[in-house]
Amino acid sequence: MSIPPNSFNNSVAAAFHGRSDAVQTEFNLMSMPLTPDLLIAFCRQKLEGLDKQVTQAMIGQKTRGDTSKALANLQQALNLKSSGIDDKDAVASKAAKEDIVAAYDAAIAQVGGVNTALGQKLALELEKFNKAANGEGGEDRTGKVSEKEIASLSEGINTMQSALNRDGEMQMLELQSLVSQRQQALQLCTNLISTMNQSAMSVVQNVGK
Amino acid sequence: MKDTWEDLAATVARQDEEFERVRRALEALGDTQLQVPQAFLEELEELTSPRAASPTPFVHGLRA
Repeated sequence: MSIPPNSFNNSVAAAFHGRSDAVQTEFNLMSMPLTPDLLIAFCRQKLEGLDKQVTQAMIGQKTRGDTSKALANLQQALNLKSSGIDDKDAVASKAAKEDIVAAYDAAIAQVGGVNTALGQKLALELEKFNKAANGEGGEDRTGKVSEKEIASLSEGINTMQSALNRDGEMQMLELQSLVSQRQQALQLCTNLISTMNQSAMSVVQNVGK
Repeated sequence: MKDTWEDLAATVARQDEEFERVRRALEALGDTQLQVPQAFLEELEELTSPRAASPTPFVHGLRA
Protein backbone atom coordinates (compact mmCIF):
# COMPACT_ATOMS: atom_id res chain seq x y z
CA MET A 1 0.00 0.00 0.00
CA SER A 2 1.41 3.38 -0.96
CA ILE A 3 0.58 6.40 1.17
CA PRO A 4 1.92 9.87 0.46
CA PRO A 5 4.71 10.75 2.95
CA ASN A 6 3.06 14.04 3.96
CA SER A 7 0.09 12.13 5.34
CA PHE A 8 2.37 10.28 7.76
CA ASN A 9 2.48 12.66 10.70
CA ASN A 10 -1.23 13.45 10.41
CA SER A 11 -2.06 9.77 10.43
CA VAL A 12 0.08 9.06 13.50
CA ALA A 13 -1.22 12.13 15.30
CA ALA A 14 -4.79 11.05 14.59
CA ALA A 15 -4.02 7.61 15.96
CA PHE A 16 -2.77 9.18 19.18
CA HIS A 17 -6.13 10.84 19.57
CA GLY A 18 -7.83 7.48 19.59
CA ARG A 19 -8.92 7.07 15.98
CA SER A 20 -8.74 3.36 15.38
CA ASP A 21 -9.00 3.73 11.57
CA ALA A 22 -5.78 5.67 11.62
CA VAL A 23 -4.06 3.08 13.81
CA GLN A 24 -4.42 0.52 11.05
CA THR A 25 -2.52 2.60 8.50
CA GLU A 26 -0.06 3.93 11.07
CA PHE A 27 1.99 0.75 11.16
CA ASN A 28 2.63 0.71 7.45
CA LEU A 29 4.14 4.12 7.82
CA MET A 30 6.19 3.59 10.94
CA SER A 31 9.37 2.52 9.18
CA MET A 32 9.72 6.19 8.29
CA PRO A 33 11.56 8.63 10.58
CA LEU A 34 9.72 9.71 13.74
CA THR A 35 10.26 12.73 15.93
CA PRO A 36 10.95 11.96 19.64
CA ASP A 37 7.62 13.62 20.56
CA LEU A 38 5.69 11.29 18.33
CA LEU A 39 7.60 8.27 19.57
CA ILE A 40 6.84 9.22 23.19
CA ALA A 41 3.16 9.70 22.34
CA PHE A 42 3.12 6.37 20.54
CA CYS A 43 4.69 4.51 23.50
CA ARG A 44 2.34 6.25 25.92
CA GLN A 45 -0.73 5.39 23.85
CA LYS A 46 0.32 1.75 23.69
CA LEU A 47 0.92 1.61 27.46
CA GLU A 48 -2.43 3.26 28.21
CA GLY A 49 -4.34 0.13 27.24
CA LEU A 50 -2.29 -1.93 29.67
CA ASP A 51 -2.59 0.73 32.36
CA LYS A 52 -6.38 0.58 32.20
CA GLN A 53 -6.28 -3.17 32.74
CA VAL A 54 -3.79 -2.85 35.59
CA THR A 55 -5.93 -0.17 37.29
CA GLN A 56 -9.07 -2.26 36.91
CA ALA A 57 -7.34 -5.35 38.34
CA MET A 58 -5.98 -3.31 41.25
CA ILE A 59 -9.42 -1.91 42.07
CA GLY A 60 -10.75 -5.47 41.97
CA GLN A 61 -8.04 -6.63 44.36
CA LYS A 62 -8.70 -3.75 46.75
CA THR A 63 -12.46 -4.41 46.75
CA ARG A 64 -11.81 -8.09 47.40
CA GLY A 65 -9.50 -7.16 50.29
CA ASP A 66 -12.17 -4.89 51.82
CA THR A 67 -14.81 -7.61 51.44
CA SER A 68 -12.50 -10.15 53.03
CA LYS A 69 -11.97 -7.79 55.96
CA ALA A 70 -15.74 -7.34 56.40
CA LEU A 71 -16.24 -11.12 56.41
CA ALA A 72 -13.38 -11.51 58.93
CA ASN A 73 -15.07 -8.94 61.21
CA LEU A 74 -18.34 -10.86 60.97
CA GLN A 75 -16.51 -14.10 61.69
CA GLN A 76 -14.92 -12.49 64.74
CA ALA A 77 -18.32 -11.28 65.99
CA LEU A 78 -19.64 -14.85 65.69
CA ASN A 79 -16.54 -16.31 67.34
CA LEU A 80 -17.05 -14.05 70.36
CA LYS A 81 -20.34 -15.88 70.90
CA SER A 82 -19.04 -19.31 69.92
CA SER A 83 -20.55 -20.88 73.05
CA GLY A 84 -23.99 -19.62 72.03
CA ILE A 85 -26.29 -16.89 73.33
CA ASP A 86 -28.46 -17.81 76.26
CA ASP A 87 -31.49 -15.97 77.61
CA LYS A 88 -30.53 -15.84 81.29
CA ASP A 89 -29.73 -12.15 81.14
CA ALA A 90 -32.26 -10.55 78.79
CA VAL A 91 -30.29 -7.30 78.40
CA ALA A 92 -26.97 -9.06 77.68
CA SER A 93 -28.68 -11.48 75.31
CA LYS A 94 -30.34 -8.64 73.39
CA ALA A 95 -27.01 -6.76 73.14
CA ALA A 96 -25.17 -9.87 71.92
CA LYS A 97 -27.78 -10.50 69.23
CA GLU A 98 -27.68 -6.86 68.15
CA ASP A 99 -23.88 -7.02 67.83
CA ILE A 100 -24.13 -9.97 65.48
CA VAL A 101 -26.92 -8.41 63.42
CA ALA A 102 -24.85 -5.21 63.13
CA ALA A 103 -21.83 -7.25 61.96
CA TYR A 104 -23.99 -8.95 59.30
CA ASP A 105 -25.42 -5.58 58.20
CA ALA A 106 -21.91 -4.09 57.94
CA ALA A 107 -20.70 -7.04 55.88
CA ILE A 108 -23.73 -6.82 53.55
CA ALA A 109 -23.14 -3.09 53.07
CA GLN A 110 -19.43 -3.70 52.37
CA VAL A 111 -20.10 -6.30 49.65
CA GLY A 112 -22.42 -3.86 47.84
CA GLY A 113 -25.82 -4.59 49.37
CA VAL A 114 -28.34 -7.40 49.04
CA ASN A 115 -28.46 -7.09 45.27
CA THR A 116 -25.01 -8.64 44.93
CA ALA A 117 -24.51 -12.42 44.96
CA LEU A 118 -22.48 -12.34 48.17
CA GLY A 119 -24.92 -9.85 49.73
CA GLN A 120 -27.79 -12.26 49.07
CA LYS A 121 -25.89 -15.14 50.67
CA LEU A 122 -25.15 -13.02 53.73
CA ALA A 123 -28.79 -11.89 53.92
CA LEU A 124 -29.89 -15.55 53.96
CA GLU A 125 -27.41 -16.29 56.76
CA LEU A 126 -28.70 -13.27 58.68
CA GLU A 127 -32.25 -14.56 58.23
CA LYS A 128 -31.16 -17.91 59.72
CA PHE A 129 -29.62 -16.11 62.69
CA ASN A 130 -32.72 -13.93 63.21
CA LYS A 131 -34.99 -16.99 63.18
CA ALA A 132 -32.88 -18.65 65.84
CA ALA A 133 -32.60 -15.43 67.86
CA ASN A 134 -36.37 -14.81 67.73
CA GLY A 135 -37.21 -18.39 68.64
CA GLU A 136 -38.77 -19.08 65.25
CA GLY A 137 -36.76 -22.17 64.46
CA GLY A 138 -33.76 -24.23 65.39
CA GLU A 139 -33.44 -26.59 68.30
CA ASP A 140 -35.63 -24.65 70.66
CA ARG A 141 -38.19 -21.87 70.46
CA THR A 142 -36.94 -19.84 73.38
CA GLY A 143 -34.77 -17.35 71.51
CA LYS A 144 -31.55 -18.98 72.65
CA VAL A 145 -28.91 -19.33 69.95
CA SER A 146 -27.08 -22.59 70.50
CA GLU A 147 -23.36 -23.28 70.11
CA LYS A 148 -24.22 -25.53 67.16
CA GLU A 149 -26.21 -22.78 65.44
CA ILE A 150 -23.37 -20.29 65.85
CA ALA A 151 -20.90 -22.89 64.52
CA SER A 152 -23.11 -23.46 61.47
CA LEU A 153 -23.30 -19.71 60.77
CA SER A 154 -19.55 -19.42 61.23
CA GLU A 155 -18.98 -22.27 58.78
CA GLY A 156 -21.14 -20.40 56.23
CA ILE A 157 -18.86 -17.37 56.51
CA ASN A 158 -15.80 -19.60 56.21
CA THR A 159 -17.10 -21.00 52.93
CA MET A 160 -17.68 -17.48 51.56
CA GLN A 161 -14.19 -16.42 52.68
CA SER A 162 -12.60 -19.45 50.96
CA ALA A 163 -14.41 -18.72 47.69
CA LEU A 164 -13.32 -15.10 47.90
CA ASN A 165 -9.70 -16.12 48.50
CA ARG A 166 -9.74 -18.44 45.49
CA ASP A 167 -11.08 -15.62 43.27
CA GLY A 168 -8.49 -13.29 44.76
CA GLU A 169 -5.64 -15.65 43.87
CA MET A 170 -6.84 -15.83 40.27
CA GLN A 171 -7.13 -12.04 40.10
CA MET A 172 -3.66 -11.71 41.61
CA LEU A 173 -2.16 -14.00 38.96
CA GLU A 174 -3.83 -11.90 36.28
CA LEU A 175 -2.49 -8.71 37.84
CA GLN A 176 1.04 -10.18 38.09
CA SER A 177 0.88 -11.13 34.43
CA LEU A 178 -0.22 -7.61 33.44
CA VAL A 179 2.53 -5.96 35.48
CA SER A 180 5.08 -8.32 33.93
CA GLN A 181 3.72 -7.51 30.45
CA ARG A 182 4.07 -3.81 31.25
CA GLN A 183 7.66 -4.37 32.42
CA GLN A 184 8.55 -6.07 29.14
CA ALA A 185 7.03 -3.19 27.14
CA LEU A 186 9.01 -0.64 29.17
CA GLN A 187 12.18 -2.68 28.83
CA LEU A 188 11.70 -2.63 25.09
CA CYS A 189 11.47 1.18 25.11
CA THR A 190 14.53 1.45 27.37
CA ASN A 191 16.54 -0.83 25.06
CA LEU A 192 15.56 1.25 22.05
CA ILE A 193 16.73 4.46 23.70
CA SER A 194 19.97 2.80 24.73
CA THR A 195 20.59 1.61 21.14
CA MET A 196 19.81 5.09 19.79
CA ASN A 197 22.19 6.71 22.25
CA GLN A 198 24.95 4.25 21.28
CA SER A 199 24.34 4.97 17.58
CA ALA A 200 24.47 8.71 18.23
CA MET A 201 27.77 8.30 20.13
CA SER A 202 29.38 6.27 17.34
CA VAL A 203 28.33 8.91 14.78
CA VAL A 204 29.93 11.61 16.92
CA GLN A 205 33.13 9.54 17.27
CA ASN A 206 33.31 8.91 13.52
CA VAL A 207 32.81 12.59 12.77
CA GLY A 208 35.67 13.39 15.15
CA LYS A 209 38.15 11.13 13.27
CA MET B 1 7.78 -15.54 47.01
CA LYS B 2 4.25 -14.43 46.22
CA ASP B 3 3.76 -10.76 45.40
CA THR B 4 1.26 -8.86 47.48
CA TRP B 5 -1.06 -6.19 46.12
CA GLU B 6 1.23 -3.55 47.66
CA ASP B 7 4.33 -5.10 46.02
CA LEU B 8 2.67 -4.87 42.63
CA ALA B 9 1.57 -1.28 43.22
CA ALA B 10 5.21 -0.43 44.09
CA THR B 11 6.41 -2.19 40.92
CA VAL B 12 3.96 -0.17 38.82
CA ALA B 13 5.24 3.04 40.47
CA ARG B 14 8.86 2.03 39.64
CA GLN B 15 7.80 1.32 36.07
CA ASP B 16 6.26 4.80 35.84
CA GLU B 17 9.60 6.28 36.94
CA GLU B 18 11.37 4.17 34.31
CA PHE B 19 9.01 5.44 31.62
CA GLU B 20 9.67 8.99 32.81
CA ARG B 21 13.42 8.40 32.32
CA VAL B 22 12.74 7.09 28.82
CA ARG B 23 10.58 10.11 28.08
CA ARG B 24 13.27 12.53 29.28
CA ALA B 25 15.95 10.74 27.26
CA LEU B 26 13.78 10.97 24.16
CA GLU B 27 12.97 14.62 24.79
CA ALA B 28 16.69 15.35 25.08
CA LEU B 29 17.05 14.28 21.46
CA GLY B 30 15.12 17.42 20.43
CA ASP B 31 13.79 17.47 16.87
CA THR B 32 16.04 14.67 15.67
CA GLN B 33 14.33 12.36 13.23
CA LEU B 34 14.49 8.85 14.68
CA GLN B 35 14.59 5.83 12.43
CA VAL B 36 12.52 3.51 14.56
CA PRO B 37 12.85 -0.15 13.59
CA GLN B 38 9.63 -1.76 12.44
CA ALA B 39 10.42 -4.72 14.73
CA PHE B 40 10.28 -2.43 17.79
CA LEU B 41 6.86 -1.12 16.85
CA GLU B 42 5.50 -4.57 16.14
CA GLU B 43 6.91 -5.98 19.37
CA LEU B 44 5.52 -3.08 21.41
CA GLU B 45 2.15 -3.56 19.77
CA GLU B 46 2.20 -7.24 20.65
CA LEU B 47 3.34 -6.66 24.24
CA THR B 48 0.69 -4.05 24.92
CA SER B 49 -2.27 -5.69 23.20
CA PRO B 50 -4.87 -7.01 25.65
CA ARG B 51 -4.58 -10.69 26.41
CA ALA B 52 -7.83 -12.59 26.65
CA ALA B 53 -8.28 -14.75 29.73
CA SER B 54 -8.02 -18.47 29.16
CA PRO B 55 -11.49 -20.04 28.84
CA THR B 56 -10.28 -23.18 30.62
CA PRO B 57 -8.99 -23.22 34.18
CA PHE B 58 -5.25 -23.39 34.64
CA VAL B 59 -4.01 -26.92 35.27
CA HIS B 60 -0.62 -27.30 36.84
CA GLY B 61 1.56 -29.79 35.00
CA LEU B 62 3.62 -30.79 38.03
CA ARG B 63 2.58 -33.29 40.60
CA ALA B 64 4.02 -33.66 44.09
